[in-house]
Amino acid sequence: MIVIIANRRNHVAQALAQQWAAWDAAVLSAQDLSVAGWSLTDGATDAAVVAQQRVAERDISAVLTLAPCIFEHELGYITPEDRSYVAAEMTAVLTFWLARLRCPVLNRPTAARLSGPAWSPEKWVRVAYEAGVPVESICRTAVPDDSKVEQKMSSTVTLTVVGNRVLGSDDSRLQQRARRLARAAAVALLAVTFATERSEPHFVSADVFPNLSDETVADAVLEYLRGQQAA
Amino acid sequence: MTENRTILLWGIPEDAPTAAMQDALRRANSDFIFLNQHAVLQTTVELTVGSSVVGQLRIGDQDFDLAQIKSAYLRPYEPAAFPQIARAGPRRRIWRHAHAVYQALHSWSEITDALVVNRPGAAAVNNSKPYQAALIESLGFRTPKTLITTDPALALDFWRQHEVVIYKSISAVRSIVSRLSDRHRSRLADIANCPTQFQHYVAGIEFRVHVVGDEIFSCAIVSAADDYRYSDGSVQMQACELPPEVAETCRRLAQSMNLHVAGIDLRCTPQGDWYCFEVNPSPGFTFFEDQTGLAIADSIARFLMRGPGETDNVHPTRLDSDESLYQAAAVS
Repeated sequence: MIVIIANRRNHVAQALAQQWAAWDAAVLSAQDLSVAGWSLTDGATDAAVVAQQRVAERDISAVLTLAPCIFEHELGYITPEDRSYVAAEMTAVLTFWLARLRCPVLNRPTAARLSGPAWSPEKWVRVAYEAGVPVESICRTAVPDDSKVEQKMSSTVTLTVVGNRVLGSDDSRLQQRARRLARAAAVALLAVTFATERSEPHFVSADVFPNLSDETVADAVLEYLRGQQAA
Repeated sequence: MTENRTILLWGIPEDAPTAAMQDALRRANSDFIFLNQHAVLQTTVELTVGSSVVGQLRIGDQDFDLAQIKSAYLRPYEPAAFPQIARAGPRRRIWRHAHAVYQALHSWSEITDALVVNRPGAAAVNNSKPYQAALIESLGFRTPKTLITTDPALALDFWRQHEVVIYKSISAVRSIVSRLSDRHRSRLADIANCPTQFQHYVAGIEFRVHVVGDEIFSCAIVSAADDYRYSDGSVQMQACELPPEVAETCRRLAQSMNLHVAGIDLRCTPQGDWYCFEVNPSPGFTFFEDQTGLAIADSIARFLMRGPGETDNVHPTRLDSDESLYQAAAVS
């Protein structure tokens, strides 16, 4: 089974689950953490609940995470004063579960986020700079009535790293830089945007949640999840 | 290149550790800037990040160059924790500005070359206690047998198996550690709504250890309560020395999590086994300092005054703890 972790109203996740039905794909949402069946102890006999069904951990072949955390607003069925606590608890459970799953997980969680690092735009710029990628400076101003985040760019290109593949541009120089950044962030799935108006493209931003409504990207993700399984 | 000189404290004056740090830095005759979150409307931040990290912090009519900050001690509350901001809501100026300042300084604290106690990314390590426990185990401490479940029947089985069982929060949200008793039986069905963490009760002497850089401050705690922090009865604390190997494991734990200052909860069983329950990345050390006389604030002050060392991992891209966990998962 391929598990897609997402808000149950995430249409892209639901569409992927349908497209990947042949691989028994299903969406795991916050509601699945409110069903008897979860059991996390020693790893050997552990079980999760996916699409309201109890699933033995050994039957999960890969996971794609499309949510940074469980949000309070997903928990309309929980008493309002408990929602914040329950959301934090559910996120904490998923973090632990995802971190120790032995199957392929795109992206692996960090302590701060269910999928990859929870970096600010400034931190991405610094990591890119330290990885030797030319960067577009970012300026953040916190002034009453005039707070903003600015970065110069008029034309951009976005590449998507999926494992060893890089989609979105044939420019090998950009592909190499996108790969370098994904490696620095220790993620296998990453959208990387460059400003292209200058002769030397500069890094602008990165996102651990690429556009999966793009069929090419979705196909590459499926291939990665299945390929990693086989490996 | 100008030498970094200043120390930044960020928080609120009524927070005991923040107040203790102001006192300690004054005692040490050290310059510092106190950024009081209550004065957020008098605070502005400009931050530019590219090949360098530069910016200005303005508090009232005073300007500070962010590049001149050599160390920072952070105990900020999220803006929503302030009633006047929470009540105002996202359309009001104070709400928007408080969040903008918080985000700007949060971002700066992750990427500055200054010594930061502790960086927010590192402090996130106890957002998931079982996630943190996996790292704790990999470094040599024992952790209690644990079950996380939404299944009341499994919880009952675990209880029968271990006889004395406690439950506590899984996330960093503070909860009172409580022992399961007969009065909980009828409420066990509620765990189907939200995964709940159960652990076998480990009897023994409780220790609180504060790691400050390489320094260790430890005290033994005697209390009849399941959670001494919320005890109605007496809580006795006494400063003590840890066995050297235990102290060294505490240092390694803090270092592996990129925490310059950490509060570690240990228990030693009558058989001499050391269990670790949690590593707190923003410890309320004054509670222990007041009762034991351990000079923790002075130690943190000295550490901040030293500034970043050559070996400090100033802006890690990924926590060692994350890597360790993956390796542990890969080999298990």
